[in-house]
Amino acid sequence: MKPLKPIKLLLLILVINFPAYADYPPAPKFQLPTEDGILNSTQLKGKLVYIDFWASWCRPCKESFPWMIAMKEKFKNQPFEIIAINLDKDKALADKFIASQNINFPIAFDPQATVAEQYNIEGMPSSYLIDQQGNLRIRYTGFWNKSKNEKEQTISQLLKKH
Amino acid sequence: MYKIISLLSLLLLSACTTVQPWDKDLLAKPSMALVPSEIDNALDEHIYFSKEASMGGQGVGGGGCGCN
Repeated sequence: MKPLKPIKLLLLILVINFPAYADYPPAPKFQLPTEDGILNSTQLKGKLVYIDFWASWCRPCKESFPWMIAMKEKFKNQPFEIIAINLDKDKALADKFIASQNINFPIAFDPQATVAEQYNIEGMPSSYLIDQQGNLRIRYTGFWNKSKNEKEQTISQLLKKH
Repeated sequence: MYKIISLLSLLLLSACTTVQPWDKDLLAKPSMALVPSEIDNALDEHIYFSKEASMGGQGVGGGGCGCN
């Protein structure tokens, strides 16, 4: 058999390995307290979930709230959920900020950052889009006004795919 | 003797650690800023410039969040 040229061999390897790129890792499961009881991530299966790790001392985290509130309002009739996981060690600081906003999605509390560690967050805020099958789709670190539209489009597309 | 000192120095490296994003609450306090007072800093910069005929070269970009 004639040996393949290096470029052809490389293409063949890429084609064989392609399905590996299409797989998304399963999102770590969690159970955290909220103001309305315990929130279990398994309850969210079948929905597109936007998870946001935030803290009251982090300015971009606070700046992301009006956008998240608007997104929840925009997609309220679709299987879309936002969960904001607070990482403040002092819950009173978080409560003060929460009281200043008209938040329309659940806030979970993770003062020991056990879930944040599972998600391996690299900065604040860190957000994740978890698809309807419970797989991690996209990770965002930080919050910028310029990327709001792109994020909204991604949410919209993932909701349509289902 | 040098070997002992070198080994002891290596032990000190264990103090080098990465601060996790959720542990940066203390670093995010205004009093922890590299430039806690903008006015003081502007005055100091002016004095420094007048004396040395050069300016800048202090401080770093980014905040406490680790997101910039």
